[in-house]
Amino acid sequence: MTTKRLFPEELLSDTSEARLSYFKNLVVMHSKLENAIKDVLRYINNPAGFSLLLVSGPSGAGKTKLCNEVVDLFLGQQLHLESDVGSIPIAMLELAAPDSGIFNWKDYYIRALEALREPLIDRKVDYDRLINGTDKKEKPRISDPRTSPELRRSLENAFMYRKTKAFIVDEAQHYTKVIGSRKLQDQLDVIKSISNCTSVTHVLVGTYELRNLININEQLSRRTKEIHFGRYRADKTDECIEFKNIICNFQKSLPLEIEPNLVQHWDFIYERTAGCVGILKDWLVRCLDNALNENLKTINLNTLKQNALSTDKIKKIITEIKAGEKRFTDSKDKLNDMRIALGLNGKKNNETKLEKTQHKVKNVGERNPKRDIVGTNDIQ
Amino acid sequence: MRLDLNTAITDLYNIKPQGLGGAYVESLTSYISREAIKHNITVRDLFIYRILPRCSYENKHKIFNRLFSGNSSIAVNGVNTTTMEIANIIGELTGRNDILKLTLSYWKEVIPSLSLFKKNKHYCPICYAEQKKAGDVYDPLIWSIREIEICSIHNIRLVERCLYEDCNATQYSLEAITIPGYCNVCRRWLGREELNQISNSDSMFIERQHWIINQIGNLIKETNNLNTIIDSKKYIDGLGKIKFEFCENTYVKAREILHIDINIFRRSCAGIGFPSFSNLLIICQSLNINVVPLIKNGEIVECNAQKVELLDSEEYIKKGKARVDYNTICEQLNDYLEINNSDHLTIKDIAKKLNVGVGTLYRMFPIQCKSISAENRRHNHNRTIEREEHLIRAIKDTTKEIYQSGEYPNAQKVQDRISKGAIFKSPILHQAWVDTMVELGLRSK
Repeated sequence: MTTKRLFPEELLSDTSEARLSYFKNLVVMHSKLENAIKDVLRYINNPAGFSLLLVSGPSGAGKTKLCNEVVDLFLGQQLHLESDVGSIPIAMLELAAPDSGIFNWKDYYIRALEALREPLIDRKVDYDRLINGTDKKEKPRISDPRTSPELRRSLENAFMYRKTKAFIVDEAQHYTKVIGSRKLQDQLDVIKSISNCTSVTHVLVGTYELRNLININEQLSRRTKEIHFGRYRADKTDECIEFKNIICNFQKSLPLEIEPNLVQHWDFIYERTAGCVGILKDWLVRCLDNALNENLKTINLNTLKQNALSTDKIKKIITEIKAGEKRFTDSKDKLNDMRIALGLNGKKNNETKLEKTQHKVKNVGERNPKRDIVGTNDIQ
Repeated sequence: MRLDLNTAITDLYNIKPQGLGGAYVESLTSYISREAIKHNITVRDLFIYRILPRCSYENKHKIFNRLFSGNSSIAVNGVNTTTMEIANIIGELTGRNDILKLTLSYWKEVIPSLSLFKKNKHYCPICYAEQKKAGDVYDPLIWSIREIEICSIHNIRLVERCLYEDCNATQYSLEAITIPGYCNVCRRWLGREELNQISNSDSMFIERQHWIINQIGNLIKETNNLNTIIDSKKYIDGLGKIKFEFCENTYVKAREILHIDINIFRRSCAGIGFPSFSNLLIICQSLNINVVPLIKNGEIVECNAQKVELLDSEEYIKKGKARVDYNTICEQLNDYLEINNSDHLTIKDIAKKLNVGVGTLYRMFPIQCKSISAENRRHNHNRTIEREEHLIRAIKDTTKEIYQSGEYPNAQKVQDRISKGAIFKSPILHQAWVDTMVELGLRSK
């Protein structure tokens, strides 16, 4: 029994470029993506005290796709409300990795202004400096060439007058490219400050490195909401089934003459994707490209093997994922510590634990403190 | 980077003009300044990079030459084709369809641009202070109308210069960097909580001004209800009605009753040209009727306010209506000649002092006027030479001073030291510097 394919049939008679392009632009919705989108949209529409949303996940999970979908859906919600052609309710920016290895705020402001369609970015002036009566002939000396007060002010104005509600920053882990923990705190302080001045919810999307920004200080932690956009785990039955469904959806969407049977190789596929849908998608794009170039009618295990990521690469990815996922789990120890700090019933358990440890903590060979019998029985 | 939104985004922010719908609506020049400030760019850059590229070829040079000078208000706020073009461009850039309501363009067929606007910006410092507390500071269109000299809210004269004594600069509506509420030169805050009010002895003047402000305010308010340019046909009919009902259908009577030139009224009734705004106010004040119904619908509607004399006898004479006493003027002119016109007044200044027109003076006393003009020209020429010699000396001394202090005396340093602005634009002064450099051996001949 042939199952229904999920692409338009006329695509099969189209060019290879068209078929490849179709598959590249395809977005297969799955539960993790849907939940993440739902969460992000919920907090954008109703921040509930959170001015920053941190969406972190492994590389290749599909975070960029998540950003694009959030933008599309949010705009779909806004179009009937906003007749103001000057407004940009949501904007997105992909942070570039800094050339010098250290984050550059000036570059960030310029890219953000471009995302907000700001005119004449290279002709900005600082009106505060002009009003305060400094010599108009003298050019302002900027002590730090990596920042710019006029660009920052322009960005704040742009957010305000474009009536932006949310600003998504992809690859936000590049914010952490600073020297020293003090500088790291300053980074988040700046983002939070811009967010507070303009009431724009900043959505920072990036790898697990992004979590370095959290828990720097209590005030920042309180205003930040974390959303974990993780991979599908093989040790969880429901996620395993979901992953197989995703593979099934992809195989039905591949514009090939014969539908490949990828589900039967799900074990191998999982091994080389670590459960990340983004990695899976990119892999299948390579496979499709390969098949179209070689005029193959379908994709088989050989094609998959030829285009898979090497084991070294996957190992590295898995190591990073494991380290990242660990931070998201609330261990019993952490919970207990928290309850002790709050003065809840966790205290007693800890006290007995302490007593036990007190007994136990002794050097080897050290005797218990007790009186030894001294002297003789003869008293004369 | 992903570009969002399928609908077109405007280039500039969609900012609502201040005071829309009221008599104190913001002027277009003020709106442009505020847009520039919100975008953190100069007004100059906004014009050069956004507005002028969209202008038609004919208007581009016209607009650019008038900008950043006394004519900017006329060009941008007025009733010309350039005004309409600029307003349409700003409307496209901001996505707003009400920008034209910040000008008087809807009345362009019935109000000539002649003497409509002041050349300089006039402002009320107390209004600035109040606006700052409420939010954004802006310049209402009504302040730029020539006839208006006071702020009707605070009963003070509108100010045209900077309030700081060490600056005292004339303010213009648009300069390269314009910040409403701040001096265009020294950039200090011009708002004040209090200022001296007009004396009660000027009650006639105040009453007159209130009447004018009321009429112009109604005109500006009515602009908000318009969507097309007002046709002049009904205005012509209205003037015809005035001639028939009030002036016994004769132009001579019209001159007596309406206090305007016969030819102007004749041309207006024929639809060839309309009276200037000040003459229109005179006509309406003479009959105590409202301006807006007359020019919009040709209706004669009596004004509710008490009739106020628009002109006193002195102003009436200034308009050249009184007879000129030949002998008195001749005596006074000869006096100026005898004392060699030590103040070096121009013919225009002398005519003002004698309460006659410049044309009248030249026509009646050509020899004396020519003599005074020649003397003034000689005096100006001598002043120029003196100034040049003084500057040449200063350039030589300064160049040598800088050289002796161990620095290279380049042109910029010398100019800054003398601090007279761009003095080296003059070839003579530049040559003086070059000669000094040759003398010091720093340049070859």
